[in-house]
Amino acid sequence: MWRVWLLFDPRRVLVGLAVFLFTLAVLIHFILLSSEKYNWLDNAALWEPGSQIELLYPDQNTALV
Amino acid sequence: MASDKESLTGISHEEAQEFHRYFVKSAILMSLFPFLAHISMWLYQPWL
Repeated sequence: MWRVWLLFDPRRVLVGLAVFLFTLAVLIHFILLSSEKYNWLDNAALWEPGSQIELLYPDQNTALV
Repeated sequence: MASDKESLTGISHEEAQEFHRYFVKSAILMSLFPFLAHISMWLYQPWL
């Protein structure tokens, strides 16, 4: 198994591994952030299940801008 | 044709073996963090 280092240069493997693992970690964190269940920033679970959210529908004459 | 050069990367057998020992040890050590992360995530919110 150690012979692999006779084939692949350790420095290049270490750099490649670091870049790959970092990218994968960032990807997974963003996937989790994009889900509702695992979003730890605006955490849906913190809103009390029973809380009422009042939806304000703009009536006709209110300009959005 | 067996290449007369023992190593394609220019490092000797001893160096390769030594590097390998460190590499395996640190790979196991580093895999500890995602392992603990998955366990704590499962306890927090199981995904299955």
